[in-house]
Amino acid sequence: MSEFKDLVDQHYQALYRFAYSLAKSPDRAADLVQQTFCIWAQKGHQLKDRSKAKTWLFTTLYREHLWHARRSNRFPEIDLEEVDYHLHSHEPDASRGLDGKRAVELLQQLDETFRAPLALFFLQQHSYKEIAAILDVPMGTVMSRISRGKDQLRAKMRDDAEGKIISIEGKVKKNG
Amino acid sequence: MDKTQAKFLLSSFRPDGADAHLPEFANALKLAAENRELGEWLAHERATDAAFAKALNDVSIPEGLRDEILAVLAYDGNSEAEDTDLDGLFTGGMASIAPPEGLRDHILAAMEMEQAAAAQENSKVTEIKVWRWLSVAAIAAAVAVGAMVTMNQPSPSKADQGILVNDDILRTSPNIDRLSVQPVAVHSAVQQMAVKLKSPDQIKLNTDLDCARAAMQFLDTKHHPVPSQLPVGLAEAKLVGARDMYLDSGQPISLLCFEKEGMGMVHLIVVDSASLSDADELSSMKSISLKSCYGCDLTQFNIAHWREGKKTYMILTKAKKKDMVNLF
Repeated sequence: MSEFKDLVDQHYQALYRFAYSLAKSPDRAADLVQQTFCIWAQKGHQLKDRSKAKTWLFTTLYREHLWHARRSNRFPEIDLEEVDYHLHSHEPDASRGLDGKRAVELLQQLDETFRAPLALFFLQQHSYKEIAAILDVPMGTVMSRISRGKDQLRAKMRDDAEGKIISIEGKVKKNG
Repeated sequence: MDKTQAKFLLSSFRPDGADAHLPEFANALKLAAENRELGEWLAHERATDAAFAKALNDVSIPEGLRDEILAVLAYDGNSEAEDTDLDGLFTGGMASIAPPEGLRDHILAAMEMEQAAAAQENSKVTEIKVWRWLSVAAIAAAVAVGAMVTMNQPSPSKADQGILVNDDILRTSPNIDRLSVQPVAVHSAVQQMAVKLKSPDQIKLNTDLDCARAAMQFLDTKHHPVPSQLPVGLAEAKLVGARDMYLDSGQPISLLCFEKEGMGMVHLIVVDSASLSDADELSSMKSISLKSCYGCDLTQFNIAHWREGKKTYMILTKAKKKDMVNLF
């Protein structure tokens, strides 16, 4: 239990922020983190090199997210919580400062392909090589996705600064 | 290496400089030091990245998340330990118990029941056996427990032993055209029930039932799914009532409402797995995970769901997830 506790203390915050970037709702992010540690409780003993626990946790969380996303695609659902969340994102926000919430909102507007590598990059917990291992893609692909993802992010931020918000349907709405 | 290649490479250079020691960045960093335009680009890029990284790393963590994780881990760990202890405790004791007289006949009778039920299903005859949920293993276990009890007590009746075998009673299944009812996704069923439970006044519970067993009998008379198991925490909880219900698309569903000390109302929902399109993706109760309800902001329910045999179970409660582990 002590090892579990240490592991939770070391990583649960970064895992949550990564999950939140992917999952679009705080509750789902929390579920993902919890589920990740549950899987660790069941299977973590199989990991012989304990120094790789962090990468293992992020990899597992990402896979859980993909599994859930595939399931949701097969059985589309209207997640009231998400709808509520997105409705909030249309509300005018005078401050528009880049706080954590806004950073996550911007990441969530990116294509799925760029979201995970970019979130991991900005969390600064992993090198691009480790990100490649977590996402199970070649290192060159990670570099490319980070570079292109940043371009997309900058474009979103520019739109944001000009008072435009991209809605979930992909339409552009003027603020105010 | 030209400037474009260097920019591409340096895009993956973490703003806190953690990658400075990696040789693959060395040439690009050297070029940035020599080329003013590239150097300015890198400085701007790192400043922008650092601002974004700071914002992302400032995302607040939900209060209680750590405790919830540790509560679930503690539950998993304890359950393993308890299982081990239990195994050790019972292995020796059980070995000394001789099979009760008639056990073989009970098992054979139960097997016949199962086979008959399977044959009924295969031939699509719409009849079910009452208490078919009592499996062979459950009968054997119940008889064994009964045998242990009889060592010190007068022989109880079959009903007193809790063996619910009424193999003389056959019932007609619900008057519903099952073939026309399409399976729904688990989350859809959960969501529908969460919405219904949001207005409990509109659910007319049968509150004349004094215990879970009475609720099971009631649901059986309604030809609705009967739970073949209860989480430990619910077996001891006070039953508030039960109700036979249907999902919007027609699937029969059973609702049992309990009041659990320290948790408030706990709603157990039972549905045939065949009514659900993705029930096979659920785990068993042993490795259950606790979730926030879809649309939780509106309903405030937390959920747990699992599948055992042909039944799928869902628990909806407004209790905290860390308290929910006490149910299992």
